[in-house]
Amino acid sequence: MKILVIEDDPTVGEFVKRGLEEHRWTVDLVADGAEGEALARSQPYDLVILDLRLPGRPGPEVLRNLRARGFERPILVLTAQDAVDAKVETLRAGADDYVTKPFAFEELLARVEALARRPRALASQRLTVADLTIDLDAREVHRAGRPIDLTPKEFLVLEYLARHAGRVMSRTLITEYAWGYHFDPGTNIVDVVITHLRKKIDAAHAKKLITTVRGVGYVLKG
Amino acid sequence: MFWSLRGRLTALAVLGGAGILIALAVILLSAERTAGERDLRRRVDEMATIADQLIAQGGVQRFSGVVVRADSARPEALSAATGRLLATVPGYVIVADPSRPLYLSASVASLSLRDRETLVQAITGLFSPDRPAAFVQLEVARLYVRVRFTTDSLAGVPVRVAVGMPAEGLSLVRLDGFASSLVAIPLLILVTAILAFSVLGSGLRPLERLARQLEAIQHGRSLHRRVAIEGDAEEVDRLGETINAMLDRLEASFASLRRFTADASHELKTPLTVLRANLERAMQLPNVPAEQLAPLEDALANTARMADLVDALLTLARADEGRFDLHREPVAMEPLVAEMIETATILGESAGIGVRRLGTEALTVPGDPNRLRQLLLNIVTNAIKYTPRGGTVSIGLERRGDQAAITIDDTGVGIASVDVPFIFERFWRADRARVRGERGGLGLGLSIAEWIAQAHGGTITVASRIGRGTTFTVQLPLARDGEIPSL
Repeated sequence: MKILVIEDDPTVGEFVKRGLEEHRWTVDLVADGAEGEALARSQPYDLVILDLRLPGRPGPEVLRNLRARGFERPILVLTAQDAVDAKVETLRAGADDYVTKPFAFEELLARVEALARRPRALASQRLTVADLTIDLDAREVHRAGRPIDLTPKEFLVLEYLARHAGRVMSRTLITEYAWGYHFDPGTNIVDVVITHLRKKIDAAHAKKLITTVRGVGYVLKG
Repeated sequence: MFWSLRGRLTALAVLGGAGILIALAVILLSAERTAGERDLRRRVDEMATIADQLIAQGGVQRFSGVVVRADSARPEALSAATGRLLATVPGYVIVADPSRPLYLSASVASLSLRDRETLVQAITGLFSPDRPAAFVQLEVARLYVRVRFTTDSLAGVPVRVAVGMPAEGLSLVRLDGFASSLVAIPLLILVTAILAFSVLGSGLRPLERLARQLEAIQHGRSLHRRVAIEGDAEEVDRLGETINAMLDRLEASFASLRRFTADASHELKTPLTVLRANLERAMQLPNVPAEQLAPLEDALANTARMADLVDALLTLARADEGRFDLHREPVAMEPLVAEMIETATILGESAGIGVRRLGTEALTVPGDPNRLRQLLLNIVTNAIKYTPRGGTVSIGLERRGDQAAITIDDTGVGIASVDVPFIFERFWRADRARVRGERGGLGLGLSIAEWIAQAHGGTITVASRIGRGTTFTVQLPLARDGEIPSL
């Protein structure tokens, strides 16, 4: 599966490229609009990620040109503008979705996977960490075969940690995942949820799955 | 100034018309009166002359006694033949010597004793050759009387010949005729009003048309449209051209504002994206020690906060521009409120605040789910923040008419009534006695909340008592049946 990223900012471009490669996509990165358009038309990409402000040829023009010449694969637009009319115009010009800057990589990945109609991962229906299983469809959690009853926010936080099992996930990223981008509680809301999760998941077991990383966040590992 | 221009001009026309009519009536009336009086005087003079000549002729012909019988005891001191001649003169006729009446016509004789006395006294006393005519008021009528002074040729006695005619009789008849024409005045005013109203209506039509076009432009927020120049009314055309020129300038300045907002969005958000990408990547490198992760997490948290602040500022800048457009889709309010209750419960737990669920209902609002979540989270976190330990925050959802009402009620410190009008202002914060938590928030939370409510066609209202608590009520219009949510 191949993705073309047309983004002139090298940091953002590299960040997107590496992140997608970690999720087993093949990624080509170009910084120039005209060059990107030519590449998209000559190679069989599964998806194009297009920044709207580009040297060479502006993003909206690239978008219109590709669509006018029969390019049928999904195009995901990166935009700094969150004005609705700008977004509507982008979608009218032929984009399939957009991500507003600044974005969390998690959000971009979700949009890419949705557009490519590829299951998030092979285990996406069911996440497993040691003897903990999370059924994403039924929204059920079991530890050592025993069902555990979680509230919606507890489920979201646990799911996020399980998706990135073994990696330290920061409070900021957890908050954004569970409460959305505009939430800035200025409190220890994640810590409270983790306390609940510990009681429900780890309290009855000798092996503790949730570990605190002071000043950063939490990690779930088996 | 609640009158329309058309109404005011009509009223002016009616007032003017009525004024002219009344002035005309007064002029005609007085002219009529003078003409009537002149007529009366002429007739009375004529009759007096005739009577005088009749007596003179009688004297010349020396019939049996035109002569005054000076010693006569009888009242008729004039000869019967002269008396018969005089009887042909109409009106009140009296012939008298300086001391007593010599002849009274039949109409004088038919007067009451008092009237006759008044008349005779007037003729012997009131009149002189300098003042030969005057009005005499009797009980039955007001007479205009003319006296001629002559001398009986034979006896050498001065004689007064008086002829009187009623003044009112004549003029009253004419006044009656005129009064009936006065009745027509209100009718004339009504006709004037109707005529003026319809004429003005057609005269003001170009202005009316211009106003309607401007209303359409204003309501549709469609600054690209222009008013039509019809070329049928010079003044209105000029007004239209001026308005179009003004619309040109407005459109240009709005466009440049929009461009600025877009540029600012890009200029501010691109570096934030780079910053954020770098931080996320650095944190995901394998084997980063925790002591290096902590400052990275702190930087990420502040980058997120900054991104949120930039978003809030740009959103409010667009709101100032009058743009409240939003992405719309049907949003089920019940799960959203349930989410708020859960979040409030989590936040309240460590702060020692109980959270109660009031009533809830399955309601759907056309809106942007992320923005609605942001709106409610802002108010809920605010309520928790300003409620002391042991207090309660209650959250409810109910239908009020065609609106969904979300109430967030706390037993917190409350807001002084003087402060209530300001709480939605940007960066405003009351000097509250106690603010828990290390940060009080950005000071934009309630401004953004208000903008989101307004952008959904809704409202936020606040009721508060200091020391007792605050109730925020968010009202949002419900989805109407058959309404297709637009993108």
